[in-house]
Amino acid sequence: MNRRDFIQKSLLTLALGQGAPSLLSRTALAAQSRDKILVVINLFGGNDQLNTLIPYRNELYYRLRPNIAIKREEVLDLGANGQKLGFHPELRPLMSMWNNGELAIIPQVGYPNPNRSHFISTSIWHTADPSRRQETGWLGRWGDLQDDPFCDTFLGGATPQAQMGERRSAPAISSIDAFSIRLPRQFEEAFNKEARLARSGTAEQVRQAMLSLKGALDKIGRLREVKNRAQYPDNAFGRSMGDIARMIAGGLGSSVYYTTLGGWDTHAGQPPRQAELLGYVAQATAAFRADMKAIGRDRDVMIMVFSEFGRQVAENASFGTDHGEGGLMLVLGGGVKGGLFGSEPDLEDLELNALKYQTDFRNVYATALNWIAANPKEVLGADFSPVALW
Amino acid sequence: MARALTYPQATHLLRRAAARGRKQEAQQLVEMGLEAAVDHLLRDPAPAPIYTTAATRNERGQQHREISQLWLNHWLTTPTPAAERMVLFWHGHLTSEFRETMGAQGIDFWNQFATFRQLGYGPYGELLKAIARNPVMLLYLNNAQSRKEHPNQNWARELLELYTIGPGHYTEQDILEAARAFTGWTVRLPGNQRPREASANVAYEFFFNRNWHDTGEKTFLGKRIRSGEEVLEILIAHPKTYEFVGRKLLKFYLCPDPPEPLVQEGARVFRSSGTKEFLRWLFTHEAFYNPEYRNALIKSPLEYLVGLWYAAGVSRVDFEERPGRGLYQALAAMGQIPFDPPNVAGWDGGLAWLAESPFLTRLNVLAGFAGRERGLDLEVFMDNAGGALALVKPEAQLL
Repeated sequence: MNRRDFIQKSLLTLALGQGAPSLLSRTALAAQSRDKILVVINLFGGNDQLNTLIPYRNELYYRLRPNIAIKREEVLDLGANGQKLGFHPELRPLMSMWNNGELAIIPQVGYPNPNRSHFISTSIWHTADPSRRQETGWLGRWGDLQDDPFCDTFLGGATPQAQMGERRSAPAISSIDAFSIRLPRQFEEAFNKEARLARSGTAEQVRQAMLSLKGALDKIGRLREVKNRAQYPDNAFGRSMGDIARMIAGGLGSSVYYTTLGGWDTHAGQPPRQAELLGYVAQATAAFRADMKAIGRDRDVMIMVFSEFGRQVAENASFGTDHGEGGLMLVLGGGVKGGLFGSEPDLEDLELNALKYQTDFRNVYATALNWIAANPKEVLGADFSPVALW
Repeated sequence: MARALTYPQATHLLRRAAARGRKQEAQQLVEMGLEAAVDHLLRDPAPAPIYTTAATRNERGQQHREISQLWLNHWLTTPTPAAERMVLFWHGHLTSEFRETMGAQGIDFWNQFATFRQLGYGPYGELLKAIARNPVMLLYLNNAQSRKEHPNQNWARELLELYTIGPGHYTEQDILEAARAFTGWTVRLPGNQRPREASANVAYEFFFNRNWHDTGEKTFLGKRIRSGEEVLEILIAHPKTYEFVGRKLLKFYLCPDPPEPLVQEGARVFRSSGTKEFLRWLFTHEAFYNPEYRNALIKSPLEYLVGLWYAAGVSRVDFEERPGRGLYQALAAMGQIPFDPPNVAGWDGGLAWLAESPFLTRLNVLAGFAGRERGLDLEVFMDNAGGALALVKPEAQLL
């Protein structure tokens, strides 16, 4: 245990010693690390930008989407700073953040030579390499340079490529509450013994996974007493966001938390599905920020939301949209400088029915890496111009 | 002259082919010798039970549990378990997700598995043609709603990217053209019953809707065509299809990163003679028994549970009663729900199965096996087996 861990653990013990299973008190947190934290939310499937950030004063938008356009009267007006764009009604929980200047909207984000495959495009975003030579993830390369195995954490069942490094990958924790070993003592002892016996080949890789699991059991077990105050959507994504808040409050010490929400591949029946999912994102991030405010960490946490691509502009015959190119990123938090970073999409200048990208996602990554005091050039392999989000 | 099969080779073969076995079966394979043992394992699939449900069409969760249980119990009891691991391969390749395919019922998914069982060992082209008309696939990848006015590209894209030639061998324009060719390939209930009124035991059938079909000429992979059938014929004749899918087969049956010469050799067998001959080629190949490939794969959660239950002499699980209900949840926590892969690319597999949370679930499942040492036969399930405590060894996770 290093010194920082020790101090955090002592404070945690102090804070929890009172027996109140609530978020940590401010006194304990005042002495906790002031390090910045990045929370990444990956919307897998390709979120449709045009029905999230709506060009509702553009007639062409309504002509190209006769069945699935968001009705003008339902759009949330973003005011003068939002140019002529507005939000999907399910994003109402984000409106106060927008009005307070804590929400950055970055439209038409992408990369050169866009790829419309979910898997290839996701891999490009995860490796931060459109040339597809890199196999490690951008956060994985950063993690390779850290000492703490919990420098970053994935909330879910299988660590994404973004958090896979050469040397290590982020621990994958689906749920704090479910994360305990429930085996008869003999089995647990045998497991600990086997984990110490080196092997070769795949068996050795399994043994390494056993060691990671043992380490994680110790660390995560301490967080069970930490509870959320805010209400999160009652689904896996909502619970993951709630668990991230608990991990931060409990002093797990990760600089990066990463989670995924799938279901955005709306080739058919898009409107109800996307509305439901956007609602989850807005409600969960609002709840999360409320929890961060309650422990005085709101200004330390940057939340970054992305999807592997946007969707095509003209709707298809099944009330849906097909895979596109440029998509929408959102960055928010108490320490984030809000605003619209980009312009209204040009619906007359399309690439095979898709929005052309305007901002390279690696510029936004560079901003996020600066936030956690990482070296963007070292991670991204070249200089990118950070977007001025803080 | 028949080639010999040693006992250690037999446990490896049985584990890989069927993900299920006990000592006595491995010994029987040894007595048969290599060729006969492989023939024995690759016998034509025994039919699976018929599925009927008392659930309504809206009670999909119940139907999903019922077909999952029916399949696992079949895998545990069938005389041809290798066929069920083959079904798992095709399910992870020609994917459909239960939770994403709202109209489709348990019976439709059960029928899709029957297609895998019936055609999965044969020529890939025959299986592909059947799946292109399979109601679950048409609903899952939205081709069922694709009309000439605005073709839906979902099926056309995944057909090229995931099911046949793989990325790098086609353009976005090819996807658009293929999507046009498949317009009108849709589904209906027999006798034009309406879904609201039909029983959940009524399955969808393929239907070609002439009025939705784009009859114009298309250019697909440089060839002038009109129909979806022609798209399939071009892909079935394409050598890349066999290299791409054959490599996936080797990753499923041999090792995570198969050597290129084996990929090429396998692709030729797969193309000329179909999946059963491909597996016969592999299982009788010297390389298959190379120590480097023994224990080179990680059991998927289904393979882990089926193997474990079988080793413990369990022949029936019940998801509606304790403790079966907990095991259904454990499958979700381990990351492999039958009929419900995480996305259209199927399961990643490999070490991803052993990330912290899913690995922990695998271990916690073992609590149910404590105190059942008698009758637990781990000889085929894992190398270095002993008593039940051996289940916490790394080898228990390997296939």
